[in-house]
Amino acid sequence: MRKILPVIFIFILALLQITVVPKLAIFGVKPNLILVGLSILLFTGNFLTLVFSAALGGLVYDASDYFWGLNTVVFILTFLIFWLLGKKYVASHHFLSLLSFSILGTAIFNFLYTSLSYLLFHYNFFDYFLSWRQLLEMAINGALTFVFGGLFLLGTNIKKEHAAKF
Amino acid sequence: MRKNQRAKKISLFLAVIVCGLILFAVTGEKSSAANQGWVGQILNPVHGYLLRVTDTLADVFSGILNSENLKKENEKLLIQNQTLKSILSGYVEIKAENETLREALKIKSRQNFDFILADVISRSPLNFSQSFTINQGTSGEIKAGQAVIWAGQVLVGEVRDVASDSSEIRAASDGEFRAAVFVGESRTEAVFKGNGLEPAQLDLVPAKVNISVGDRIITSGLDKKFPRGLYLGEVKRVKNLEGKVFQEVEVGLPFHWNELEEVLIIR
Repeated sequence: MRKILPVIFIFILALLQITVVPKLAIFGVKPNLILVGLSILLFTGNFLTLVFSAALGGLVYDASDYFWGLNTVVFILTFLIFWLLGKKYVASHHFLSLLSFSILGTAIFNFLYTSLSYLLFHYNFFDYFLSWRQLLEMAINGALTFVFGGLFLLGTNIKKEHAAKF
Repeated sequence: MRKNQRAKKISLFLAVIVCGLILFAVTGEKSSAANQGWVGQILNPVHGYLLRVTDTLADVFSGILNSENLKKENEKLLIQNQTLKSILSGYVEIKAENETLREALKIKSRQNFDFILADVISRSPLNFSQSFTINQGTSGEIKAGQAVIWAGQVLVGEVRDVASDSSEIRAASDGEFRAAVFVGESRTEAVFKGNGLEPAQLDLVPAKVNISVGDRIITSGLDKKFPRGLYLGEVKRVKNLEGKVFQEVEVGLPFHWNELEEVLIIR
Protein backbone atom coordinates (compact mmCIF):
# COMPACT_ATOMS: atom_id res chain seq x y z
CA MET A 1 0.00 0.00 0.00
CA ARG A 2 2.84 2.36 0.87
CA LYS A 3 4.31 1.95 -2.61
CA ILE A 4 1.01 2.70 -4.34
CA LEU A 5 0.30 5.93 -2.42
CA PRO A 6 2.79 8.08 -4.38
CA VAL A 7 1.30 6.77 -7.64
CA ILE A 8 -2.24 7.65 -6.55
CA PHE A 9 -1.07 11.04 -5.29
CA ILE A 10 0.63 11.93 -8.59
CA PHE A 11 -2.34 10.64 -10.59
CA ILE A 12 -4.73 12.89 -8.63
CA LEU A 13 -2.41 15.85 -9.16
CA ALA A 14 -2.36 15.14 -12.90
CA LEU A 15 -6.15 15.07 -13.07
CA LEU A 16 -6.36 18.34 -11.17
CA GLN A 17 -3.82 19.87 -13.56
CA ILE A 18 -5.92 19.18 -16.67
CA THR A 19 -9.26 20.17 -15.13
CA VAL A 20 -9.14 22.68 -12.31
CA VAL A 21 -5.69 24.28 -12.46
CA PRO A 22 -6.13 26.10 -15.84
CA LYS A 23 -8.80 28.23 -14.11
CA LEU A 24 -6.42 29.14 -11.28
CA ALA A 25 -3.69 30.74 -13.38
CA ILE A 26 -1.82 33.81 -12.08
CA PHE A 27 -1.16 36.26 -14.94
CA GLY A 28 -1.98 33.35 -17.22
CA VAL A 29 0.71 31.12 -15.67
CA LYS A 30 -0.25 27.72 -14.25
CA PRO A 31 1.82 25.69 -11.77
CA ASN A 32 3.06 22.23 -12.70
CA LEU A 33 1.55 20.05 -9.99
CA ILE A 34 3.31 16.83 -10.97
CA LEU A 35 6.66 18.56 -10.72
CA VAL A 36 5.72 19.89 -7.30
CA GLY A 37 4.54 16.42 -6.25
CA LEU A 38 7.74 14.74 -7.44
CA SER A 39 9.85 17.33 -5.61
CA ILE A 40 7.95 16.66 -2.39
CA LEU A 41 8.22 12.88 -2.68
CA LEU A 42 11.83 12.84 -3.84
CA PHE A 43 13.40 11.88 -0.53
CA THR A 44 10.70 9.60 0.76
CA GLY A 45 9.74 7.54 -2.26
CA ASN A 46 11.07 4.40 -3.81
CA PHE A 47 12.93 4.91 -7.12
CA LEU A 48 10.78 2.62 -9.27
CA THR A 49 7.56 3.91 -7.74
CA LEU A 50 8.50 7.49 -8.45
CA VAL A 51 9.59 6.73 -12.02
CA PHE A 52 6.28 4.97 -12.60
CA SER A 53 4.41 7.92 -11.04
CA ALA A 54 6.27 10.38 -13.26
CA ALA A 55 5.45 8.29 -16.33
CA LEU A 56 1.79 7.96 -15.36
CA GLY A 57 1.47 11.68 -14.69
CA GLY A 58 3.14 12.39 -18.01
CA LEU A 59 0.68 10.14 -19.82
CA VAL A 60 -2.27 11.99 -18.29
CA TYR A 61 -0.71 15.28 -19.44
CA ASP A 62 -0.10 13.82 -22.93
CA ALA A 63 -3.77 12.95 -23.30
CA SER A 64 -4.60 16.67 -23.12
CA ASP A 65 -1.55 18.12 -24.80
CA TYR A 66 -0.30 18.48 -28.35
CA PHE A 67 2.28 15.72 -28.52
CA TRP A 68 1.88 12.14 -27.44
CA GLY A 69 4.69 10.88 -25.26
CA LEU A 70 6.57 14.15 -24.88
CA ASN A 71 5.42 14.91 -21.34
CA THR A 72 6.10 11.32 -20.27
CA VAL A 73 9.66 11.40 -21.61
CA VAL A 74 10.39 14.83 -20.15
CA PHE A 75 9.06 13.95 -16.70
CA ILE A 76 11.12 10.75 -16.60
CA LEU A 77 14.25 12.60 -17.73
CA THR A 78 13.70 15.38 -15.19
CA PHE A 79 13.15 12.88 -12.42
CA LEU A 80 16.29 10.93 -13.38
CA ILE A 81 18.32 14.14 -13.28
CA PHE A 82 16.88 14.86 -9.80
CA TRP A 83 17.56 11.38 -8.53
CA LEU A 84 20.96 10.61 -9.97
CA LEU A 85 22.61 14.02 -9.84
CA GLY A 86 20.52 16.15 -7.54
CA LYS A 87 20.29 13.82 -4.56
CA LYS A 88 24.00 13.10 -4.77
CA TYR A 89 25.08 16.72 -4.45
CA VAL A 90 22.27 18.31 -2.45
CA ALA A 91 21.63 17.71 1.25
CA SER A 92 18.68 15.43 1.68
CA HIS A 93 15.82 15.88 4.13
CA HIS A 94 16.40 19.57 4.27
CA PHE A 95 13.56 21.88 3.59
CA LEU A 96 15.50 24.18 1.28
CA SER A 97 16.65 21.31 -0.90
CA LEU A 98 13.01 20.61 -1.74
CA LEU A 99 12.58 24.22 -2.73
CA SER A 100 15.68 24.21 -4.93
CA PHE A 101 14.60 21.01 -6.65
CA SER A 102 11.25 22.53 -7.45
CA ILE A 103 12.63 25.79 -8.83
CA LEU A 104 15.50 24.24 -10.78
CA GLY A 105 13.30 21.35 -11.80
CA THR A 106 10.84 23.75 -13.45
CA ALA A 107 13.68 25.27 -15.48
CA ILE A 108 15.02 21.83 -16.43
CA PHE A 109 11.56 20.51 -17.33
CA ASN A 110 10.71 23.56 -19.43
CA PHE A 111 14.09 23.47 -21.17
CA LEU A 112 13.72 19.78 -22.06
CA TYR A 113 10.12 20.27 -23.20
CA THR A 114 10.97 23.29 -25.37
CA SER A 115 14.03 21.63 -26.90
CA LEU A 116 12.39 18.29 -27.65
CA SER A 117 9.22 19.86 -29.07
CA TYR A 118 11.40 21.98 -31.37
CA LEU A 119 13.71 19.14 -32.44
CA LEU A 120 11.05 16.48 -32.86
CA PHE A 121 7.93 18.42 -33.84
CA HIS A 122 9.29 21.80 -35.00
CA TYR A 123 7.11 23.72 -32.57
CA ASN A 124 8.64 26.90 -31.24
CA PHE A 125 7.96 27.50 -27.54
CA PHE A 126 11.12 29.51 -26.91
CA ASP A 127 9.06 32.68 -26.55
CA TYR A 128 7.56 31.33 -23.36
CA PHE A 129 10.78 29.72 -22.15
CA LEU A 130 12.68 32.99 -22.45
CA SER A 131 9.93 35.19 -20.99
CA TRP A 132 9.32 36.49 -17.45
CA ARG A 133 6.34 34.12 -17.17
CA GLN A 134 8.69 31.18 -16.91
CA LEU A 135 10.28 32.83 -13.87
CA LEU A 136 6.80 33.31 -12.44
CA GLU A 137 6.10 29.61 -12.99
CA MET A 138 9.31 28.74 -11.15
CA ALA A 139 8.27 30.98 -8.27
CA ILE A 140 4.76 29.49 -8.12
CA ASN A 141 6.08 25.93 -8.16
CA GLY A 142 8.62 26.88 -5.51
CA ALA A 143 5.94 28.44 -3.33
CA LEU A 144 3.70 25.36 -3.59
CA THR A 145 6.61 23.07 -2.73
CA PHE A 146 7.48 25.37 0.18
CA VAL A 147 4.02 25.07 1.65
CA PHE A 148 3.09 21.47 0.95
CA GLY A 149 6.60 20.07 1.13
CA GLY A 150 7.05 21.75 4.48
CA LEU A 151 3.84 20.25 5.81
CA PHE A 152 4.81 16.84 4.47
CA LEU A 153 8.27 16.95 6.05
CA LEU A 154 6.76 18.11 9.32
CA GLY A 155 4.36 15.20 9.24
CA THR A 156 7.05 12.63 8.52
CA ASN A 157 9.31 14.05 11.26
CA ILE A 158 6.51 13.92 13.81
CA LYS A 159 5.80 10.34 12.79
CA LYS A 160 9.47 9.37 13.19
CA GLU A 161 9.70 10.99 16.61
CA HIS A 162 6.55 9.22 17.69
CA ALA A 163 7.91 5.87 16.39
CA ALA A 164 11.24 6.48 18.14
CA LYS A 165 9.50 7.11 21.47
CA PHE A 166 7.50 3.92 21.36
CA MET B 1 -74.67 66.49 55.61
CA ARG B 2 -75.34 69.10 53.04
CA LYS B 3 -71.87 68.56 51.58
CA ASN B 4 -72.52 64.85 51.29
CA GLN B 5 -75.76 65.37 49.55
CA ARG B 6 -74.13 67.83 47.25
CA ALA B 7 -71.35 65.40 46.38
CA LYS B 8 -73.88 62.68 45.73
CA LYS B 9 -75.84 64.90 43.43
CA ILE B 10 -72.70 65.89 41.46
CA SER B 11 -71.52 62.30 41.02
CA LEU B 12 -75.02 61.19 39.96
CA PHE B 13 -75.11 64.01 37.45
CA LEU B 14 -71.65 63.08 36.02
CA ALA B 15 -72.59 59.38 35.81
CA VAL B 16 -75.72 60.23 33.86
CA ILE B 17 -73.73 62.41 31.44
CA VAL B 18 -71.06 59.72 30.87
CA CYS B 19 -73.64 57.00 30.30
CA GLY B 20 -75.53 59.27 27.98
CA LEU B 21 -72.45 60.03 25.96
CA ILE B 22 -71.48 56.36 25.71
CA LEU B 23 -74.97 55.45 24.63
CA PHE B 24 -74.97 58.30 22.16
CA ALA B 25 -71.56 57.21 20.76
CA VAL B 26 -72.42 53.53 20.46
CA THR B 27 -75.87 53.96 19.00
CA GLY B 28 -74.89 56.68 16.52
CA GLU B 29 -76.33 56.66 12.95
CA LYS B 30 -73.05 55.75 11.31
CA SER B 31 -72.03 52.41 12.70
CA SER B 32 -68.82 51.67 10.69
CA ALA B 33 -65.65 50.99 12.60
CA ALA B 34 -64.16 54.26 11.32
CA ASN B 35 -67.01 56.27 12.79
CA GLN B 36 -67.43 55.00 16.25
CA GLY B 37 -66.93 58.46 17.52
CA TRP B 38 -64.64 59.66 20.29
CA VAL B 39 -65.24 56.50 22.35
CA GLY B 40 -63.83 54.44 19.56
CA GLN B 41 -60.91 56.85 19.23
CA ILE B 42 -60.01 56.31 22.87
CA LEU B 43 -60.75 52.58 23.04
CA ASN B 44 -59.39 51.39 19.67
CA PRO B 45 -55.66 51.88 20.39
CA VAL B 46 -56.07 50.14 23.73
CA HIS B 47 -57.97 47.37 21.99
CA GLY B 48 -55.26 47.11 19.33
CA TYR B 49 -52.48 46.93 21.92
CA LEU B 50 -54.31 44.28 23.92
CA LEU B 51 -54.89 42.25 20.76
CA ARG B 52 -51.18 42.31 19.89
CA VAL B 53 -50.21 41.25 23.37
CA THR B 54 -52.71 38.38 23.43
CA ASP B 55 -51.69 37.25 19.93
CA THR B 56 -48.01 37.20 20.92
CA LEU B 57 -48.76 35.23 24.05
CA ALA B 58 -50.88 32.82 22.06
CA ASP B 59 -48.03 32.34 19.54
CA VAL B 60 -45.53 31.67 22.28
CA PHE B 61 -47.69 29.08 23.97
CA SER B 62 -48.71 27.42 20.72
CA GLY B 63 -45.03 27.27 19.74
CA ILE B 64 -44.11 25.59 23.01
CA LEU B 65 -46.96 23.16 22.86
CA ASN B 66 -46.45 22.33 19.11
CA SER B 67 -42.63 22.28 19.09
CA GLU B 68 -42.46 18.62 18.17
CA ASN B 69 -44.78 19.10 15.18
CA LEU B 70 -42.92 22.26 14.13
CA LYS B 71 -39.61 20.38 14.17
CA LYS B 72 -40.99 17.60 11.97
CA GLU B 73 -42.55 20.10 9.58
CA ASN B 74 -39.26 22.03 9.42
CA GLU B 75 -37.29 18.89 8.53
CA LYS B 76 -39.85 17.97 5.89
CA LEU B 77 -39.64 21.46 4.39
CA LEU B 78 -35.82 21.33 4.36
CA ILE B 79 -35.84 18.08 2.41
CA GLN B 80 -38.42 19.46 -0.01
CA ASN B 81 -36.32 22.59 -0.45
CA GLN B 82 -33.19 20.57 -1.25
CA THR B 83 -35.10 18.43 -3.73
CA LEU B 84 -36.51 21.49 -5.45
CA LYS B 85 -33.08 23.11 -5.58
CA SER B 86 -31.56 20.08 -7.31
CA ILE B 87 -34.45 19.93 -9.79
CA LEU B 88 -34.01 23.64 -10.41
CA SER B 89 -30.30 23.29 -11.17
CA GLY B 90 -31.21 20.60 -13.74
CA TYR B 91 -33.69 23.02 -15.33
CA VAL B 92 -31.07 25.76 -15.39
CA GLU B 93 -28.74 23.47 -17.38
CA ILE B 94 -31.53 22.55 -19.77
CA LYS B 95 -32.40 26.22 -20.19
CA ALA B 96 -28.78 27.11 -21.00
CA GLU B 97 -28.58 24.28 -23.54
CA ASN B 98 -31.89 25.40 -25.03
CA GLU B 99 -30.61 28.95 -25.48
CA THR B 100 -27.41 27.65 -27.09
CA LEU B 101 -29.33 25.56 -29.57
CA ARG B 102 -31.73 28.43 -30.34
CA GLU B 103 -28.74 30.66 -31.04
CA ALA B 104 -27.25 27.97 -33.23
CA LEU B 105 -30.52 27.65 -35.14
CA LYS B 106 -30.62 31.43 -35.69
CA ILE B 107 -27.11 31.40 -37.14
CA LYS B 108 -27.94 28.32 -39.17
CA SER B 109 -30.93 30.06 -40.70
CA ARG B 110 -28.89 33.23 -41.34
CA GLN B 111 -25.72 31.66 -42.70
CA ASN B 112 -26.78 28.14 -43.52
CA PHE B 113 -24.23 26.65 -41.07
CA ASP B 114 -24.49 23.20 -39.65
CA PHE B 115 -23.23 22.73 -36.08
CA ILE B 116 -22.14 20.08 -33.68
CA LEU B 117 -22.36 20.84 -29.96
CA ALA B 118 -19.53 19.50 -27.82
CA ASP B 119 -18.45 19.65 -24.18
CA VAL B 120 -14.95 20.60 -23.09
CA ILE B 121 -13.53 17.63 -21.18
CA SER B 122 -9.98 18.75 -20.43
CA ARG B 123 -7.56 21.61 -20.98
CA SER B 124 -3.87 21.71 -21.87
CA PRO B 125 -1.82 21.14 -18.71
CA LEU B 126 1.21 23.32 -19.42
CA ASN B 127 1.78 26.98 -20.22
CA PHE B 128 3.29 26.31 -23.65
CA SER B 129 0.10 25.65 -25.56
CA GLN B 130 -3.46 26.92 -25.34
CA SER B 131 -5.70 24.04 -26.29
CA PHE B 132 -8.55 21.98 -24.95
CA THR B 133 -10.17 18.63 -25.67
CA ILE B 134 -13.82 18.09 -26.56
CA ASN B 135 -15.98 14.97 -26.41
CA GLN B 136 -16.76 14.72 -30.13
CA GLY B 137 -14.57 13.11 -32.78
CA THR B 138 -14.77 11.38 -36.14
CA SER B 139 -17.88 9.53 -34.98
CA GLY B 140 -19.55 12.96 -34.67
CA GLU B 141 -18.26 14.01 -38.15
CA ILE B 142 -15.58 16.29 -36.78
CA LYS B 143 -12.62 16.95 -39.08
CA ALA B 144 -9.32 18.73 -38.59
CA GLY B 145 -9.43 22.39 -39.58
CA GLN B 146 -13.08 23.02 -38.75
CA ALA B 147 -13.92 26.31 -37.05
CA VAL B 148 -14.93 26.28 -33.39
CA ILE B 149 -17.27 29.01 -32.20
CA TRP B 150 -19.18 30.08 -29.12
CA ALA B 151 -21.73 32.69 -28.00
CA GLY B 152 -23.15 33.41 -31.42
CA GLN B 153 -20.40 33.86 -33.95
CA VAL B 154 -17.29 34.29 -31.84
CA LEU B 155 -14.43 32.23 -33.27
CA VAL B 156 -12.63 30.61 -30.35
CA GLY B 157 -10.38 28.12 -32.13
CA GLU B 158 -9.93 25.41 -34.73
CA VAL B 159 -9.93 21.63 -34.66
CA ARG B 160 -6.32 20.51 -34.60
CA ASP B 161 -6.46 16.78 -34.14
CA VAL B 162 -9.29 14.25 -34.19
CA ALA B 163 -9.72 10.83 -32.61
CA SER B 164 -12.81 8.67 -32.77
CA ASP B 165 -14.52 10.13 -29.68
CA SER B 166 -12.55 13.25 -28.90
CA SER B 167 -10.83 16.13 -30.64
CA GLU B 168 -8.17 18.60 -29.72
CA ILE B 169 -8.98 22.25 -30.29
CA ARG B 170 -6.31 24.89 -30.75
CA ALA B 171 -7.55 28.08 -29.10
CA ALA B 172 -7.41 31.41 -30.93
CA SER B 173 -4.79 32.64 -28.44
CA ASP B 174 -2.42 29.75 -29.20
CA GLY B 175 0.91 30.69 -30.80
CA GLU B 176 0.18 28.53 -33.84
CA PHE B 177 -3.28 29.94 -34.61
CA ARG B 178 -3.63 32.11 -37.73
CA ALA B 179 -6.62 33.57 -39.55
CA ALA B 180 -7.16 36.03 -42.41
CA VAL B 181 -9.27 38.91 -41.10
CA PHE B 182 -10.90 42.23 -41.88
CA VAL B 183 -10.32 45.07 -39.45
CA GLY B 184 -12.80 47.83 -38.70
CA GLU B 185 -15.28 49.51 -40.99
CA SER B 186 -12.65 50.06 -43.67
CA ARG B 187 -12.24 46.27 -43.80
CA THR B 188 -8.47 46.42 -43.91
CA GLU B 189 -7.03 43.00 -44.61
CA ALA B 190 -4.66 41.57 -42.01
CA VAL B 191 -3.54 38.28 -40.47
CA PHE B 192 -4.66 37.47 -36.93
CA LYS B 193 -1.93 35.72 -35.00
CA GLY B 194 -2.27 34.07 -31.59
CA ASN B 195 0.62 34.77 -29.23
CA GLY B 196 0.35 32.28 -26.39
CA LEU B 197 0.13 33.98 -23.02
CA GLU B 198 0.92 37.38 -24.57
CA PRO B 199 -1.86 39.40 -26.24
CA ALA B 200 -2.82 38.26 -29.74
CA GLN B 201 -1.64 40.43 -32.64
CA LEU B 202 -2.50 41.49 -36.16
CA ASP B 203 0.22 41.10 -38.74
CA LEU B 204 0.73 42.81 -42.09
CA VAL B 205 -1.26 45.94 -41.24
CA PRO B 206 0.27 48.72 -43.36
CA ALA B 207 1.50 51.73 -41.40
CA LYS B 208 -0.45 54.20 -43.54
CA VAL B 209 -3.84 52.57 -42.76
CA ASN B 210 -5.85 54.18 -39.99
CA ILE B 211 -6.71 51.61 -37.29
CA SER B 212 -8.45 52.72 -34.08
CA VAL B 213 -8.80 51.12 -30.67
CA GLY B 214 -12.14 49.30 -30.56
CA ASP B 215 -12.25 48.35 -34.25
CA ARG B 216 -13.94 44.98 -34.73
CA ILE B 217 -11.99 42.08 -36.21
CA ILE B 218 -13.85 39.48 -38.24
CA THR B 219 -12.71 36.58 -40.41
CA SER B 220 -12.45 37.45 -44.10
CA GLY B 221 -12.66 33.90 -45.46
CA LEU B 222 -9.80 34.68 -47.84
CA ASP B 223 -7.62 31.92 -46.36
CA LYS B 224 -10.34 29.37 -47.13
CA LYS B 225 -9.95 28.13 -43.55
CA PHE B 226 -12.82 29.82 -41.77
CA PRO B 227 -16.14 31.13 -43.06
CA ARG B 228 -16.44 34.88 -43.49
CA GLY B 229 -17.96 37.03 -40.76
CA LEU B 230 -16.90 35.18 -37.58
CA TYR B 231 -16.01 37.64 -34.81
CA LEU B 232 -12.53 37.32 -33.31
CA GLY B 233 -12.12 40.34 -31.06
CA GLU B 234 -11.33 44.02 -31.17
CA VAL B 235 -8.28 46.23 -31.44
CA LYS B 236 -6.83 46.89 -27.99
CA ARG B 237 -3.66 48.83 -28.78
CA VAL B 238 -2.04 50.33 -31.87
CA LYS B 239 1.67 51.12 -32.17
CA ASN B 240 2.85 52.96 -35.25
CA LEU B 241 6.64 53.18 -35.29
CA GLU B 242 8.49 55.65 -37.49
CA GLY B 243 10.15 54.11 -40.50
CA LYS B 244 8.34 50.77 -40.20
CA VAL B 245 6.23 49.38 -43.01
CA PHE B 246 3.68 47.68 -40.78
CA GLN B 247 2.11 48.84 -37.55
CA GLU B 248 1.87 46.72 -34.41
CA VAL B 249 -1.69 46.01 -33.38
CA GLU B 250 -2.74 44.15 -30.24
CA VAL B 251 -6.06 42.33 -30.12
CA GLY B 252 -8.37 41.81 -27.16
CA LEU B 253 -10.21 38.50 -27.28
CA PRO B 254 -13.77 38.31 -25.92
CA PHE B 255 -13.27 34.92 -24.23
CA HIS B 256 -10.45 33.23 -22.46
CA TRP B 257 -10.27 29.61 -23.59
CA ASN B 258 -10.14 28.58 -19.92
CA GLU B 259 -13.69 29.80 -19.45
CA LEU B 260 -15.26 27.63 -22.15
CA GLU B 261 -17.31 24.64 -21.06
CA GLU B 262 -19.17 23.99 -24.32
CA VAL B 263 -18.44 24.88 -27.92
CA LEU B 264 -20.01 24.60 -31.35
CA ILE B 265 -18.10 23.19 -34.31
CA ILE B 266 -19.09 24.34 -37.79
CA ARG B 267 -19.38 21.35 -40.12
